[in-house]
Amino acid sequence: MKVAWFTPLSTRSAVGEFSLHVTTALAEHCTVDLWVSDHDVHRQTELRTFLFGDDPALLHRLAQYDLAIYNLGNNDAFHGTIYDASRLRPGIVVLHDRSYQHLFAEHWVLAGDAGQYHERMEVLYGEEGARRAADDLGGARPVWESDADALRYPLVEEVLDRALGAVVHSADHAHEIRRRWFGPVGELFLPAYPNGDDARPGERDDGRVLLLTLGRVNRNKQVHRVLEILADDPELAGRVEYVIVGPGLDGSYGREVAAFAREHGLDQVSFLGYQPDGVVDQLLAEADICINLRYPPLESGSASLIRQLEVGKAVLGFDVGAFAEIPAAAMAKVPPGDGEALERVLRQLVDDPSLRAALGATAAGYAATLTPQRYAEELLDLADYTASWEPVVRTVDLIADELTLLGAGRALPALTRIGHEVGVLVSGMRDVTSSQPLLRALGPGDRDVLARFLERNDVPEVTVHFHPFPMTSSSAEEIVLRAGDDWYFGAFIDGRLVGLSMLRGWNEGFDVPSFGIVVDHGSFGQGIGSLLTDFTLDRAPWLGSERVRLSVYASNERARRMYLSRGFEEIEREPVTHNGSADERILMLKELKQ
Amino acid sequence: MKIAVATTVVPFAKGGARRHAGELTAALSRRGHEVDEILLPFWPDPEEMVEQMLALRLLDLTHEAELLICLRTPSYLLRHPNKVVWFLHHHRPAYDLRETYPDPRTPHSDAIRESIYESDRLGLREARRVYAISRVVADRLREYNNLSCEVLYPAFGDADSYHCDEYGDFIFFPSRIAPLKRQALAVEAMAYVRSDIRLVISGKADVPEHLDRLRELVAGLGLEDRVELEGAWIDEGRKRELYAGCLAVLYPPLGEDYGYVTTEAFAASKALITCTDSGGPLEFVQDGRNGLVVEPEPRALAGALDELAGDRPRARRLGEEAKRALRRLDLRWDPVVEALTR
Amino acid sequence: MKVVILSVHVPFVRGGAELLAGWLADNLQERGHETELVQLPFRWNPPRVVLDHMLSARLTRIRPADRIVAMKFPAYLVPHENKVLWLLHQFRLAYELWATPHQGLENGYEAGRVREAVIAADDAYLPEARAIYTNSSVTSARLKRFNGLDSTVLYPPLRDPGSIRCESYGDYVFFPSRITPAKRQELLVQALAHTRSGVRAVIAGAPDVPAYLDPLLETIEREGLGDRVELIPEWISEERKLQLYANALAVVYPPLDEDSYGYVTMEAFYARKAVVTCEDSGGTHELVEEGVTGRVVPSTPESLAEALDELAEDRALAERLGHAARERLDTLNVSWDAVVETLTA
Repeated sequence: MKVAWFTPLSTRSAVGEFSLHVTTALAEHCTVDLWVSDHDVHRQTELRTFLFGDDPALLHRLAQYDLAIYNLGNNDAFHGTIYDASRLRPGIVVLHDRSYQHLFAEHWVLAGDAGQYHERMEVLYGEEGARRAADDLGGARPVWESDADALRYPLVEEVLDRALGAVVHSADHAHEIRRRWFGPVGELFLPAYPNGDDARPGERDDGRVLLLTLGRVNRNKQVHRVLEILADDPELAGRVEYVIVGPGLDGSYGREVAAFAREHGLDQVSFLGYQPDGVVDQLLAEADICINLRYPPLESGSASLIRQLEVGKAVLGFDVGAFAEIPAAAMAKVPPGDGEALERVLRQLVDDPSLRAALGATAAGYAATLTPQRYAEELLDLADYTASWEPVVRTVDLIADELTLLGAGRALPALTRIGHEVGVLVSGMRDVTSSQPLLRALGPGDRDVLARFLERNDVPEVTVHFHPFPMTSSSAEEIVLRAGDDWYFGAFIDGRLVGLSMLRGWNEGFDVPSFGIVVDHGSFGQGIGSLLTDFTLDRAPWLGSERVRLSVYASNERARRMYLSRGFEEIEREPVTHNGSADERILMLKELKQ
Repeated sequence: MKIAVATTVVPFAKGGARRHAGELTAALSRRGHEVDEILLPFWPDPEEMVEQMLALRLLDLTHEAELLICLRTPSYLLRHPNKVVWFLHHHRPAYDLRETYPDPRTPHSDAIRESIYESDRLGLREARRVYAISRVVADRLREYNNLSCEVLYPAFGDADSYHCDEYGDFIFFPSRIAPLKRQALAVEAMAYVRSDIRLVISGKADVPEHLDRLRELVAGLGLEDRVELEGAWIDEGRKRELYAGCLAVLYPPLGEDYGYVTTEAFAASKALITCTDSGGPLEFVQDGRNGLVVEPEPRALAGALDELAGDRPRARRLGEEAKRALRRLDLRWDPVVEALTR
Repeated sequence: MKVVILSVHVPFVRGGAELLAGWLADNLQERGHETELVQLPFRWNPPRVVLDHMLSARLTRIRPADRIVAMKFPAYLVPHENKVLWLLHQFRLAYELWATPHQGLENGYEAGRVREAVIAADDAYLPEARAIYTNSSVTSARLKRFNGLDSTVLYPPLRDPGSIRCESYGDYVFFPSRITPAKRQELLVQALAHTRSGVRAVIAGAPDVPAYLDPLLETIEREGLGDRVELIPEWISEERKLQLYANALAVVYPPLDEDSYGYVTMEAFYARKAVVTCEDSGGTHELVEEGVTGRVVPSTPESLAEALDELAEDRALAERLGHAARERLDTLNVSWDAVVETLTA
């Protein structure tokens, strides 16, 4: 597979850093080219890079790729041309932010095309949206300067229009997107990546606890909440040092919080403004507590949070958005409206070094599981899943195109009726998938997804019971390309293969096929095994089989009972040594009725 | 060649499109083509037109046949790379009848009409070739759709099944009963007729009210003895009998697209009385040679009826010339099949 | 009443369903209903076009009609306030035939997604109908199992049962059907090799493809059954068929998992002939009851042979079962009067 990966590569862009790590992992599975348009100091990559910002004609080459992935954030300088490219060829969009008001404000309004902005606000959000946009253009406070309004009219529909699939970085954001868009949405947690190891924790001579807040200084970071706590409690304030790193000090909020600190004599608080990576890394290494209060959540996931977890810091944040999805033991969380809780937990953290250490250790362990490799694999599964939506996306696009060709005006009631019919078909499909996996026979197109499944499940907890063939990509190839008379079935959830079953033995000349099943170890206990078993046995008569046999170890009591309940009868027991101890291999048989 | 012949039909209405599709299918089969007829229901209520047009657009017959021949509007919205349209008529309330007999006015009429225009442009543009069923229709295509196309008259394969017994004492008006066919005009004319000629109107009403209204008109004018109303589908045998026995045939529709009545009357050696604004029939009827063409006005029509009633030999002469004219037209299937499959 | 019969049509292909729709139209018409048969074009590969067809059906408007009788997917999705379903089957490729060699949809994610859409559409729109009738309890059972919907079985009558007669119980069993592996003509030939009574067999029907004849001819040759099996590998005339029914000892009909009881069974019963069928024949069991209206035996040549011998050696038994078969038919009230009355109620 050949992937075109659109991203900013600027050293000032967090998305650029993310892209660098993910594409490196992705390149282990497929060919990845980077498509970059920003003019800035770029990060170094070994992947082939096309600078299409200089030469838009390059975009004609997109036809050569199997898949285009567009990284989109709420910023025109880094993402505007990526948005433009995504109009040319449908692909998967990675939604780094929840609102795209800034992107389009800059892309359209500042570029002199306020009419476009106004029209899209009306099309997407009706009269209400039109009125709000008109206020903007009439000089009132623009939508994009209010977090609440930016989330209410996120313009994310605009970037999703024509997308084949979307990637978001939290379940919460996925839920929000599914309310607005019918296509496939993948929830992938942001990966963690070590930033080099130059930074060493420094010894602090004054014994104070170092609090650190990173990122552009604006109301969303809720710095004032911490300052108010410190102002109210000189005793606590005396035991900490609070460093705020990030640009934005000349903005109204930056000036406001700096003035507050001055007026309250909080000289242990310092605003350092923008700092290069090296300085930030050093401060992060020295920090005792990372204060990461963002409200409301504007990002899909939080790269800064993952970074802080990865370096093993105690993090204090609000229990919303992606933060809410971090295990409770890996960070300290308080409800956003609860000032008392914030003060209480902050004090606990300052008071108790062992609590900080425990949180930090759990955090680092958790972040270690969020590898770019895992992200890359999940992304590839999503790409397969997205392919399954192609007929729907195609049908919906076809309808849109045809209605345009038919000159059907937007106000026609027929459009509402058509929309309703499309909605029933599409939402019906999603209900089916979310409530149960998609079950079907495997075919040659499933080679990669099966290979990933087998390799992922080459772990003792699976292979102890299941070992008819090695869990390798060559087995996968054998299975899908040379199945012969044998049959293999898969259970898919969101494009991820989570269970494999089989009726095999025909190829070797047996009359009675042997049933086998293996469920992804990450999906145990969800009923996938029973579902896939019933499905497979249901197919057997149609495959020309009147009886099915299987073997199961006596030690696998749960499986044995499931087979008994499905009408399998024990016909033979044979003592074996299994897994180093004495066991019995039980042969079972089931007569099938049409 | 594998050919699909597609048309839209209104369920239960035995309109020309259905007959046309059936005869064309048979003719293509006789020439050795593998043919299938695809009749798609379409209800011309403007309020539900857009979704029905989309329903047609969603059907792609590319893999079913090598050639798709589309007849009645808007069957040409079906998708196929090798599409030939034999255009029967527009959705006339949006075109030439827009002023006189428009679709009922609703808040969305204008937008729907725009969509009808757009969809016709689309379907016709996609076609490899477009033929019009008559000169009238070709003229409308030029006027409204800026499209010039050849005229391809339907073949009249069973002309020989019509005959003439006599030039009797009645005028025959066969057609479905609808305002556009102007049966009312014929009845009103009868009030001015001085001779004792009778009028036989036969055909099924599109909606029962049309027949009721016509009955009331007949009663109101006291014409029960002289106007016979057969308000039902006429079977083919009975139709031929009436053609064979009548003095002449009356067919005064408004802007008819083609009008099978003309050729049927000619096949039965009967003169056709029609009006100056009747459209299709005027392509065949020459005033005073094989029929009479008068103003669409009761007195003028009455005059024409009296003229023939008072001069039977003339009715015969015109009728016999009509039969010759039909022969000269040479309405066979061969050239039609040739053109459509070229 | 103005009735529209709604079915589908795969361009250039004629099938049994279209015959039934045509008979229904004739019978409605004969009983004074103004009837129109509407067939929407349908195709299912590549699978994504199924979505287009479903949506097209939903956007199709049938006016004017007092009643719609819809028979096949996706035509039954057409909305109408007065719609009844007489389902021959659902879109089987998405249900019981899914992930089997009969899947008939190009495999892959796309087909899986489309299958979900079919099930979702059935779930959402089948209940729109005022009533759901099916052609067999097999179809009804599937509808219940897959979509949780209740339905009533309304057996499709033969076109003209009055012409079927019984003249004698002769020396042959009759197996009329198109020749195809699923009907298992070969099983009968093999069984004949195991019989001891000298019973003969007449197998009549056109092969789906000429190659299907080969194994039959080979077995006949190998087992030396040339004088005991009469193979008529073509469509026989209606009169010849009636003649063969009228004088058969019994009728053999052992297909593999048939959807419904099959016209053969019903024709045999009208001709007062017992039907010999197999335990895995599916729908035939709706009419054939072991030892009462026929024989239901395991699908092995030996078992079938045994059953044929018993009938050949005891004509009275064949006659008794045959008469019971006819009586069974009468209790079912399978008639066009009943069908028309039910569907227009």
